[in-house]
Amino acid sequence: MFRLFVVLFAVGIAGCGGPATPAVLNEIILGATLPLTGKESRAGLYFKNGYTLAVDEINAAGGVMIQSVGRKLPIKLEIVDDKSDSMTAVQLAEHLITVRGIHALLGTYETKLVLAQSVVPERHKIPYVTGGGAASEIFKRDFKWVFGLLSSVEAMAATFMDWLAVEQDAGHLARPARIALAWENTAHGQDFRAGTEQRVAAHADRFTLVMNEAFELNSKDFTPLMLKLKAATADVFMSDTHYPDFVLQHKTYLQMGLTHPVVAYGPRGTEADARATLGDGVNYLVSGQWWTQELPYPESRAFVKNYTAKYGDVSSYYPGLAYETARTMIAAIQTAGTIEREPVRQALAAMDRDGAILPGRRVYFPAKTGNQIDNPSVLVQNMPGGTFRIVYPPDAATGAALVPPPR
Amino acid sequence: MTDSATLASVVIFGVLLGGVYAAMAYGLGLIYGVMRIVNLAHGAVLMLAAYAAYALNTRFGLDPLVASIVIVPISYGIGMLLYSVLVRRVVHGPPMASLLLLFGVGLVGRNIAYLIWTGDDRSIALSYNLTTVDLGVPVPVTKLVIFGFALAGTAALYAFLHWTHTGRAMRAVARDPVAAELAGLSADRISARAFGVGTALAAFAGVLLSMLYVINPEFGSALQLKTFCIIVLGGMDSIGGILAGALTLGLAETAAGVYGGTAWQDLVSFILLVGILVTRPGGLPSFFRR
Repeated sequence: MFRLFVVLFAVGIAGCGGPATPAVLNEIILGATLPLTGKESRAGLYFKNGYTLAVDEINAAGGVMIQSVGRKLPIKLEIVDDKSDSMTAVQLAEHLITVRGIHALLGTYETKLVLAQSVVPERHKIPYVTGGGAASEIFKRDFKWVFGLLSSVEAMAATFMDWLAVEQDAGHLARPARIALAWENTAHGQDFRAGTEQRVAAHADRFTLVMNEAFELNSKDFTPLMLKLKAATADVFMSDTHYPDFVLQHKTYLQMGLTHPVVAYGPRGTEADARATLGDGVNYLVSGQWWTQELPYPESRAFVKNYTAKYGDVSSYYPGLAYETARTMIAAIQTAGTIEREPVRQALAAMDRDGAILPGRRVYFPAKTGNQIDNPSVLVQNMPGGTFRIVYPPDAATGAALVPPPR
Repeated sequence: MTDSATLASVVIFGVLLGGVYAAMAYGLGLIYGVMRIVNLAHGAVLMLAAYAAYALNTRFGLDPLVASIVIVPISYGIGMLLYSVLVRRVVHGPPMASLLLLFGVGLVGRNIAYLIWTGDDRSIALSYNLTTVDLGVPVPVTKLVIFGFALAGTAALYAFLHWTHTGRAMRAVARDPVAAELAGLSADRISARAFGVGTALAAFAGVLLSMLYVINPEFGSALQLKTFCIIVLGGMDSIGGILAGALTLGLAETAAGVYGGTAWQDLVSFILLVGILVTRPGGLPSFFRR
């Protein structure tokens, strides 16, 4: 009895003092904070659904093949509510990494939240993919662990300008075209301004900037802006706005009886609520989208079918971006063949994956943009009756743009 | 942008914007005037009333102006209740107590909006949303309606405060609560009514604003800051002063936007706020006092 006690004691001591035996890996845990309540709750829910669908599809196929353990492992998704608050998004990301032991982190939604949160994965050296922050400010910090699937607003502005050149070549738009530019005084708007100005400078024979005006986010009166726009006698009015400013700006535009061959409000214009408020006034607006359900790619169509069957409405870019964000992280883990962080990071950095549902159908993270994808946006034009058509890029176009629009 | 047509546009749109601002500020001015309380829940009242107008419009198809017939009296009752249950406990305490209490009430209001309507942006579809009247420049009917109500509100509030027993009692309490009590007035009851009227005025403004702007739970916060600028400009407790302050701000912002940069509009508000606080703490009316 005494001997048995001594043996057990010795084993106990050895167990306490020796190195911990690695836990058996039974699942891959992806963590995410999302704005499920608060002002971004609508986008947060779309993101949750997109992440969940991607994970469910992989799990239904048996999981992810992890070479280091020699078998497929299922994925567990841990999503917590950051309440649309930057500080909470940071704290919860820390919690997921240090307490919950996640293997990789998927991004939250909204530029400010992503900007704040992305410091955490960089500090903890854990792979982070976000489809919810477009401002290039997020990616200009020389971070190694942060990868962005939402191309910059600067790239969106460049896409608009490239499309205007196509319309000029087709004889639909004056050359040089007089561009009136308005941009909100935020990182988002400053990116839009930079993208436009770069193209104007590079193609002086095509474009002349006749108005270049900043405005504050959530402005309560756009009459001065519209008086300036009227005086500018432009061919193209391009503004970069969040939704409330878009509605007020375009309402003022219509009330003042303004018309231009091309009117665009950055990513705004296709919202059903805008049509309900402004009626036919939103017809022929052109908007830039990071993803749309109208994309004719087979992968995108399959996603729309599956998402709609499970969750219903897919009329925003959010679920598409979320879905592709989760798929990208999973693909990187599969390529790495391990859940070790550095190999997964390297797989993301080297990624050039086809079959994505995004415009261009590729996922890649160029080092020159700080690991932010730089694929083109999809440009869509609103049509009467609440429909819209993709007018650019050519490989995704579902119809020709109406420039100038019929009056 | 220096021609006379542009100048005329600046004046017209500046005055109309001033009308919107005046409508926003009356409720805050009245409550401060009678109780010397800065109502930090004012923005939340604007926002909740705008949501109420939205709900009545989407559920029953009521025009916001018609909906105000329901919303304004209910808001009066809520204001009275709020005073009786909460505000009266701190009204004679240090200013910080009422500031914190009403800040808390505002936060509760904002979170109620999140719970009921989520964070989504919403707007009211009106058949006359894009209708304009030609005054040399096309002027939106909605802004004219709001301006009309702002002018009528000034006249009605003046008449109420000067020609009704309750209004005169409110002025008496505002001037000297102890003397008012000695004269047989219940300062507490009069303050409750003033808080009710102030809340109703804020709610009416919220209904009017719902005709112009996209609504979300953060909608009232930015407006509240602007409202503070207006009542400081207007001398804090003068109804005519508030109208003058609102018109001044509307004209200054519009002129700054047209002749300077559009992004200067908000900056102008806060420069005026600081400038007036430093040089004329009594606001614009102090220019006319000896």
